[in-house]
Amino acid sequence: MEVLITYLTRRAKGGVSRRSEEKSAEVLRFGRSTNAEVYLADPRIRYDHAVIHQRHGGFFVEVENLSDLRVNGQPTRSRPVIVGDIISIGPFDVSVVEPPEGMDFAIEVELVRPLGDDYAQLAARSTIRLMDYGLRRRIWSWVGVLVILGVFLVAPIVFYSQHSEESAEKTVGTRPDTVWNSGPISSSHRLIADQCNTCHQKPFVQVLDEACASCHEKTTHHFDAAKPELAGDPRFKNVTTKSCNKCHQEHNGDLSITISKEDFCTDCHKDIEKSAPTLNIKNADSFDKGHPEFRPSVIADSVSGEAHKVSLDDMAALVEKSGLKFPHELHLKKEGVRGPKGKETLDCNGCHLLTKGAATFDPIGMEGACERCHQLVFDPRRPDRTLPHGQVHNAQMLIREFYSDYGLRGGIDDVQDPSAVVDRHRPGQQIETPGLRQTNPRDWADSQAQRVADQAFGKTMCGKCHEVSAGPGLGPLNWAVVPARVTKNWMPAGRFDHSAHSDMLKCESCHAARDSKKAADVLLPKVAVCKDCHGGESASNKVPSTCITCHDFHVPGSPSMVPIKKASWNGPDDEALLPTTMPQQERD
Amino acid sequence: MHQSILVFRNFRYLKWACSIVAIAMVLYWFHEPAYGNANGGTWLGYTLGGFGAVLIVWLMWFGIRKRRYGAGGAPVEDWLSAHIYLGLALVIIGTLHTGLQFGWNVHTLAYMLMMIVIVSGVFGLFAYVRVPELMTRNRRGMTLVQMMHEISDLDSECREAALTLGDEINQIILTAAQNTRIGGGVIRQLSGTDPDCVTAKASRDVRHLADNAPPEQAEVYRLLLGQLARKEELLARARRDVQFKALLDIWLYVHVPLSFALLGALIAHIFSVFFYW
Repeated sequence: MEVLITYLTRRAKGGVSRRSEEKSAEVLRFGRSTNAEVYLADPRIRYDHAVIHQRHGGFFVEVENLSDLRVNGQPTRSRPVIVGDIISIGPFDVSVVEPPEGMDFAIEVELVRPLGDDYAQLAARSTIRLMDYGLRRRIWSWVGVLVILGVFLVAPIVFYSQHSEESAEKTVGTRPDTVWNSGPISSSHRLIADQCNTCHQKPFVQVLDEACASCHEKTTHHFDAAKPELAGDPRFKNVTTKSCNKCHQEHNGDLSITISKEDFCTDCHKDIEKSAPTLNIKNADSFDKGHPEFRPSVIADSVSGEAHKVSLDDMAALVEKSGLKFPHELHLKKEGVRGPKGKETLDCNGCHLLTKGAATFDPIGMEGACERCHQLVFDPRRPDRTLPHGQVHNAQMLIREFYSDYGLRGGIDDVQDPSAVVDRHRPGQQIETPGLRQTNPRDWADSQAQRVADQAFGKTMCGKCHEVSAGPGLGPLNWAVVPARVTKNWMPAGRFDHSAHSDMLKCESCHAARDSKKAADVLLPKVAVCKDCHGGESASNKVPSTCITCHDFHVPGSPSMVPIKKASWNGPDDEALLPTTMPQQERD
Repeated sequence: MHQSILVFRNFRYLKWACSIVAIAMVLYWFHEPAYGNANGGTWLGYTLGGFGAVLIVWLMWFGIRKRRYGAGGAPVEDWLSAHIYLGLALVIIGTLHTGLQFGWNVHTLAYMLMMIVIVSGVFGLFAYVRVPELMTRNRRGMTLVQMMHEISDLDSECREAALTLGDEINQIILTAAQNTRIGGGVIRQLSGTDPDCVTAKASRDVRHLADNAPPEQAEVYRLLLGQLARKEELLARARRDVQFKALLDIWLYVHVPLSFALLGALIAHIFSVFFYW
């Protein structure tokens, strides 16, 4: 067949250039093969791509090797073509046109999809700058600053401004201002850890004393700053004018909120004798280096109960005027003492009872400790009758009335006594008592009562344990008993937990009771005994102990402390520094 | 003459930074808060925090100062040198300010952001000191655009050379030309390689085909293989160039946005401390 092949090339400036070839061939082959009648120089074209046959007067196009072929846009493998059809072979469009005179077939070939600019394509495929990948520093900067300000500043402020303290506390879930929490709350305050406004009541104002006082209204002061000699003294400003939060700083985690450093106390207390001579307290430095000897408040006058501090070093002055006579040595004899049921050995806790969990011992009294052995039976014939302990006047009256009763009624069971009191008197019966045994019953009763009282008060009972005095007019039978003053706490400014120590130590490890012959002995261990086990706060081979291990800052009995700037105290009354005494005669 | 920013003015700003750090550490060492452990709320804590906050704002001002080419005062080299050394000093100042108290809160957030910003800055410093030299050596006098032009030229040469060969090899060459790319995602750019490089694959395939090619095509194959090898070499260098540029850039995407996040956190931190005083 005779074929006219026209190659069209579009110019960049418009217009089309045409180059025609006439070919005479059996078939019309398309491809990169140099044998192909239609040579298509493009890598996207197969070596043998397609072929057009003449068959039965018509023309057919067929692909070779499963190449890409479309006719009028329709993919095909083989189909007839007529004038007007467009055959797409790879990037080329082959249009079937009307053949000129003498030709069987005519086509126009045009490269409609050129490969294009390699560099431009490579550049388009490549991403060579981070910026091109969607990273924008400015945008992310804005996002960062706005998100952070929104979550960590605006949200908490909005929450704060829209809630009262009460409604804020009822918030379910995490409060936005939780992100402001600078650290865990101390364990004792953790129950209000999620209630910021309980303490932070006013914005931009440090936690007010009133906030503390709303729970701790009974907190007492270190000492009575209103005392005339201390009031206004600038040297005590540190402990009298500072608000609570200066010392008690929260949000420091499981640490106690209390200041425990020795320096905090010793800064002032190491020179306290000079700065506050009237306080009658000794200079104290760290427990290692500068703790003064203990100065128990011993009773100087058992009648008035007046106490004064005496150093344990001052043996001559260390006399407790308790009004009692009590030899510990005698009661703690190893071989025992005579008890109601024979010999028995006493130990400390026979009398000194430590209630479980209590830091100090129960008060000692006649009832619990003494009377099991020391029964106040004043007439052996009547062991059921005892004197009332602690009732000096009543006891004397009881003795007199007891013997008067016998004088009146008779019936006493002792032949040595006058018959007037031995014989039973019947109503209307005349008392007849001959001889020596005839005595006036009242005289008998009085003399008996005085005799028994002298014995009981003077020696066998009251006077055995108490200091007593005799004289006309002192009592119904001329006896008086000095009030017993058993000190409950010799060192009220210190704190000592007997329970905590009793697991490890015996009583006599600290208290030399077995050698004590007198109740006037102050059986306290010296500070050196404590130092056997306890060291200062930085001790490495002893129990580290700081001031507040034994001493309170907020001394019980001192005036109220909060709100400190508003506090005004009336009537200085330094009871805290005095021992708590328990006058024996007032216990009935 | 060029002088490294690190030894600038005989380490003047390093000396400044060391002095500040030394003072802070001595103060911290002898500082005994009346209560508990060191923290941001003591006088030293407030002092260090205040100084650190001013320092952060000043360090960020460098971002503005460096764009003001006509600005008076100290030259921008001074600013950069001081920015580096005083920024590093902030690690110590900030850490001492915390008293090593950390938690899930805005305060530790500010600290963490500060540390990330500083670490990214250290990375940037490392990149600026090390990378330019490597970059120059890698480029061998060419720019990346020149490399890409040469790669494109090689592509078309390969295509033309292959036209006389079989379909399979033309497909390989075409695919290699049309799918080769340089760079890509952040990771790809930073890695400096392309494990799926189509040119490398084409090179392998052509070598395989060359083994079974008829002798008369051997010349064309040798030409193709040579061009593909050259292209691979250029691609590797182009990708390394992209990697170097990415290394010079990437830290700034952390350094700058997180600096601003830090500024936000710092404002919230200071505000909240005094709001709930």
